Amino acid sequence: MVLFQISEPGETQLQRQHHLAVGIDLGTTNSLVATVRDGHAATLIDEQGDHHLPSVVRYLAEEKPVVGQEAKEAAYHDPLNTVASAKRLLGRGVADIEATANRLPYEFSKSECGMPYIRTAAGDISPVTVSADILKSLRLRAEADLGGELDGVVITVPAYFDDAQRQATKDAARLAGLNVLRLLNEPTAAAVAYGLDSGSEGIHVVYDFGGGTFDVSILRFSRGVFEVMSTAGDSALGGDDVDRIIAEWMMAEAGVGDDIEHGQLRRVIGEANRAKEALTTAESVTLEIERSDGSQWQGALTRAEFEALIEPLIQRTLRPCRRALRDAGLTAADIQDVVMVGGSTRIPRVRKAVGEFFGREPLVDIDPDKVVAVGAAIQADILVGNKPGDEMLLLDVIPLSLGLETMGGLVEKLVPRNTTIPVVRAQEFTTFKDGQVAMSIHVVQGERELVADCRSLARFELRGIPAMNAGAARIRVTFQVDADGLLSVSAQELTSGVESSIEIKPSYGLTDMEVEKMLADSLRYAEDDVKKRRLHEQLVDSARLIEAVEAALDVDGEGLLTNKECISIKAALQALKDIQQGEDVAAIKAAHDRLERATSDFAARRMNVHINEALSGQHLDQISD
Amino acid sequence: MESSFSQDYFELFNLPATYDLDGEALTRRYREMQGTIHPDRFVNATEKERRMSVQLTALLNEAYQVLKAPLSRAKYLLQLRGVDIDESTTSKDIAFLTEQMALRERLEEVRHSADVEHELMRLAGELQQRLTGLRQTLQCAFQDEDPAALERAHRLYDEMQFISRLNEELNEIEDALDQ
Repeated sequence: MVLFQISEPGETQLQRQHHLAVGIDLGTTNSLVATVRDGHAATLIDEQGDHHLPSVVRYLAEEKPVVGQEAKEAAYHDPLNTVASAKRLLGRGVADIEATANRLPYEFSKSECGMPYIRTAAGDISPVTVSADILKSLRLRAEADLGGELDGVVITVPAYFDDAQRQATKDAARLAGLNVLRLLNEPTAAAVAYGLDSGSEGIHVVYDFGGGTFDVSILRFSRGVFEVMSTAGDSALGGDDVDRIIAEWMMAEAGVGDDIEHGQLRRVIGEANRAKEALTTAESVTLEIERSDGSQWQGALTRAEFEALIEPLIQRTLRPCRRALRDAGLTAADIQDVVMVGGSTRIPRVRKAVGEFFGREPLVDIDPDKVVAVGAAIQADILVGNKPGDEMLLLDVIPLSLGLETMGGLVEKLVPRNTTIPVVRAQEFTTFKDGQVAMSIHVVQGERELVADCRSLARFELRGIPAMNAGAARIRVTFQVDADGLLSVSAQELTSGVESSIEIKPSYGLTDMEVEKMLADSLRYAEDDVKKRRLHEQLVDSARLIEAVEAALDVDGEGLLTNKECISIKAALQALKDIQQGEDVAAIKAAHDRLERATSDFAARRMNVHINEALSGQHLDQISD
Repeated sequence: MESSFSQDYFELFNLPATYDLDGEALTRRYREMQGTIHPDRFVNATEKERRMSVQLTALLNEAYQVLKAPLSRAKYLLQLRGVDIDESTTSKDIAFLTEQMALRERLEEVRHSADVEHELMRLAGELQQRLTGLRQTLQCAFQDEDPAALERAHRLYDEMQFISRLNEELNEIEDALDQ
């Protein structure tokens, strides 16, 4: 007798494919990659068994960049070609770094786009390229370990990163050939790792003091939803600064001046770093440096002296804590627990100060260096579709207010800090002079009233405004911040309907064109050529679309489509599948776009059903007839 | 989708259009809807679905923010009831104007006092009390069927708006202390 197989209600007939997804913690000092295997998230090791990849890249003429430990060791004898802490330069302008540049052991060249390039034997290298090389190294590690190409990654960024810094991170991922599912804030990632581990409901603080950045986030965790209530921080404050303070103390004690050469400075900073780590357990540490005349200096640093030296830095981390509490409308008494993240939280004095501030012992159960990567891996696994039906949801916020420059160099805020993302906000402006036909729009980010005190993100021009009297034109500027925290801006003159031809020129970043060019350039040295790469990207894109459409048809095809519509979508689907066998990129792209168009109404209907379902708590089958 | 989002914010969350809102129900509904339409649920969907998801979630966030905060909820409810709110015009109510001036003076005193932090906390506490009182009075005004009550609600909203702005300025002074 033949039995009919009947699938369980709710179970799709389509056997879901397991996708390869990883979480990447792109750190200032070290980077990590993690994945979920058999329901357990863990960091991946390299061939030597190391979890951490030092975020250091060495550039030599006519050679592939060297990434990681080998580069870190080369930093002492080849400081100028070896780039460390590139994350601190991401999305920053030349002027920003000049303040600290005399302490950074590189030579910079100015570029047209306002970004600092580092002069190396392999040419001028942007911080985006350095980050891309680190990401590429992690990608190769993950692909070797998981045995296949990655379908998607979640990359973490400091919560307090501004738009330019986030965009630069995403550009780096693109250069590294990664499909970014989401940029995730580091403290939120840590909360995911902790929250899912302990399952504890309530309000949590994540104090994330890393190698180069400091963040504090306050989150409410309730029934699978992580809701960021507020975030604050300092994107230029980290363990690097602790090292620098010790190094400066050593140089002062030894009578070594600022004119110290690069290699020597690296050695002093290395010695300072060693002292910091030793003082986590030791009460005192002996230090040594060589003066430029060859003589030796030797001295001792006690734990108490060390703590006094870094007290100002610790205080600088407590101010954002106060502000985050206030923005969330809470006091320290409302906090259930405090999670410590980042290498700098190993310093005993830091733990003590944070414990005193919040009035409770901070949690250090998960390795503070790995917790961010682990949280990112959990999120990546869900986003890529390996855990259908998982209810976890992250609701994050924008860390810094977004605004526009108005008359007199003042800022008009459109999106205040700590607004939940995604967010869309619009504001109307008018012309200042009679007959004015163009308007320049300057987008800034920050909390201060004057444009000069905020970060400039981009400028663009709205042209073709019909000539009218001053104040008669109505220009609506719309800001949209997506779930990655990335901003897009559009503008329209309302009386005439003129849309701005917006080409955003980032103040401290790369335009799309520049990223394209860098991609092409990098491929010149790679084994595969540009064409092959394009085909590959298109195939990956189309495979994703095919899967999405098949899944949608499977669930809602019968309920939401007429027979005729269903046939036409299936035809477009089959056409894309057929043409995917070939190698004609343009033809595949055209078939891809046709399928997108064919499913457009279907997508809108599906959305509508989702919303109504959520609204009424009803189930799909009750609505669809 | 058009059908859902052309509704007013109260209808969107399936809640009665009152000032005295069930905050827990609002948050519960918000989270349920987020769980369905958030971009994280559409990472592998078609381009169109991804775009719609971002826009709809942004609208949902906006609606939630407006209804959640007592001040913006008051403003929204007044607008729903046909009151034209113009933030730029000043009140003609002499008593309110006098009080505004007195509070402004207090703020300046705080700014220049010997113990700024302490005075700041004290004034912030007083303003908080005022806001709580105003919210209760406003609630009564919104419940009142008398057409004149709407004008009263409008006046109370103006007062709340002023006190909230003062509160923000206090926060800015506190921020400046940290610099």
